[in-house]
Amino acid sequence: MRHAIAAFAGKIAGTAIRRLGRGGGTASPGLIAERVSPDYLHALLRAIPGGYALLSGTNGKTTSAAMLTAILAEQGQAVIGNPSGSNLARGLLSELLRRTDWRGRLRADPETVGVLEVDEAALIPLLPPAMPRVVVLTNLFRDQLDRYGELDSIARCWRTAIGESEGRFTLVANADDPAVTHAARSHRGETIFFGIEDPAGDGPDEWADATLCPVCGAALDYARVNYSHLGHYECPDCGFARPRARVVAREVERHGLEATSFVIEADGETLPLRLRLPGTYNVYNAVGALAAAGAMGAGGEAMRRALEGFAPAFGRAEEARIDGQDLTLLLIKNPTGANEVIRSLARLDGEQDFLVLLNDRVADGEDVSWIWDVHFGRLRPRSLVVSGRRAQDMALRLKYAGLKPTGGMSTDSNLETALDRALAGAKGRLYVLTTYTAMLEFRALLVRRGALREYWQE
Amino acid sequence: MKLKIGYLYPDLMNIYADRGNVECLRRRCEWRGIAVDVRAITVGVTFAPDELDIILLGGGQDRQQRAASEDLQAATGDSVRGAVEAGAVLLGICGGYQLLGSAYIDADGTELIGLGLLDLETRHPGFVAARCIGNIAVDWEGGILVGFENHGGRTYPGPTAAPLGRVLAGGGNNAEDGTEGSVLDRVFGTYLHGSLLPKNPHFADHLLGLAVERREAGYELEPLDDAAEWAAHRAALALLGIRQGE
Repeated sequence: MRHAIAAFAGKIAGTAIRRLGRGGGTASPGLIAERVSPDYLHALLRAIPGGYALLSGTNGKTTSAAMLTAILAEQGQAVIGNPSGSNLARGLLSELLRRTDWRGRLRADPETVGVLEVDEAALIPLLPPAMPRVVVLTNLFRDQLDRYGELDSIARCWRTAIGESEGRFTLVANADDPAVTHAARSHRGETIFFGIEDPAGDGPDEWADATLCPVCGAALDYARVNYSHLGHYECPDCGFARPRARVVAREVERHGLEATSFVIEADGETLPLRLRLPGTYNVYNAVGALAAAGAMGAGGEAMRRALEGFAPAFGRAEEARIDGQDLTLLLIKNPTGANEVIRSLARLDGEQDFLVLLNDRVADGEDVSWIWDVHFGRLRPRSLVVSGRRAQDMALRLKYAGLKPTGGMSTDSNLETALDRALAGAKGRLYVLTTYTAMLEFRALLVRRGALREYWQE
Repeated sequence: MKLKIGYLYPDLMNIYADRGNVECLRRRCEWRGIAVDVRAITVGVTFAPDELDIILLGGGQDRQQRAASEDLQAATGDSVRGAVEAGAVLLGICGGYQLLGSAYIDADGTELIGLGLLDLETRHPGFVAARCIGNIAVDWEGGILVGFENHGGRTYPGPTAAPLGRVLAGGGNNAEDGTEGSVLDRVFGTYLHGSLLPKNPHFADHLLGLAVERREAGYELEPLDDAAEWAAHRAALALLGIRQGE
């Protein structure tokens, strides 16, 4: 009964928000339903007929989930997901509420599976009660410390929650991230590790964080670094080391901002792939998604077709055209992800045009310090416009990064006029670097100008 | 004029983008034609008392802070104390600030020994207590300072400690007594990151002023165009509902 009331209250809110044109209603309906019945989310998740996968980690959740969804859909399976990236408990609940009847029961075909990304902290209370079929852990980077407290405490809580789940799901975990593998070691069921084994991997960043052994605290030795603290590591003191990965990417080749090719090897079988996405981080997303797809019963041919036809996820290297001008949306939300995006941009020839958007809402992280850990100095801007709620902080960061665009740099807190200014100043493709909530606002602006469709209608 | 900046434990104590402070000092020197050299001081590295003009020590997670504390008990700690005695400027932020005091008792009850340069002690109340997280503004003798704080530990100044300033909005040292940070001669400690120095050019120049004055009495810092700096400063204050004319 309480679930029915929760569903009713949440649905009313969601309908009202969409009717008023206030966006997709991706979080508030769930927040309302959650207040009415806190365990309703668990019940709805357990009701997904074919079981579901939960994907969590700092970076790559949305893209990995979109890849996994594409693979399962390629096999003809109906998939429930949260592609907008609204990934706190309230966001998952809002998404599922749209698929319930007025009595609060999930409406889904018998074979339907779920692919849901979930915030790192929000994963913890779900693990024992919500009974996922597969859990995917991508990585743990420094992100939004104002919200999570310290990184170590998330890793510790993951480890405890996984241990308490008594092995009732298949765990798919990134072998190259020591914090993830340490958490994964408390798992009592099947664990599938994935990783990259590429001798030509990039070197470490300047002043990279020392990665300390999660078991004994000694500084880990790295034989190879793929990026940030992801790589092949071993503790010189206690012997903690990268586990053997069952699904690996080899022979990684980068083709600018357009594509990456590599060979996947799993259980003795190989699968060459060309992905229309740049960067090592997207290779990790693909390997993780493939390992998860295997755990959900997908076959190799569906994997290849789905990934080669894969278009970028919401706001991740998404392309649009406005007033005859091409633009690319690139999400930046923490130093590691942003530095990888910048590394790809730095490989382009000549100078580029940029619009940079910095917000400080809860979903972005209220602390904007992280921008000082991003190597913006590697960009070669021709024109540069800065906007967002913290435009002044970003403008200051870019000044100290030593950027001196030949076409000038300007700050404009109004997104609408900032876009006009950026379009007027751009000579080539406009690259829009944006934090999460600024991306939502910017996308809404593109929709109003007819350059994009609303994602909840796609 | 030439300045040498020591960046302590860039691989352990830099969780809140403390390298923004290094970048700020470096650029503000360059723009004035002051040669500047930044040296990373990692575990086990020592230096002569007269070698460094400014030393920066940022924040880290508990485990990294423990490693830094242990190293500061050894030769690196002696180098830092020697440099401060010889007149170097030292700025500690967040975890780095806590290590300038006598001790930091972490969430597990483990006591980390600090450098003892400032009269204060920090205690972490455990994970049950709320962290001090959010934008913060502090009234410092040279003007208002803005930043972001995020700390579990509560710092309690001893009888001889002088606070860096009074909290206008935010938690500060311990969210109880309205004080923030601590200062003794040329040693400064504060919970403000964000990064601190770029948005507070008056404070950045205060530190640089002390450093150049030591090398050459009467040396005046050339004024810079700080319009972008003050715009970010005012924007941060506006988030806290504080309006200011500057």
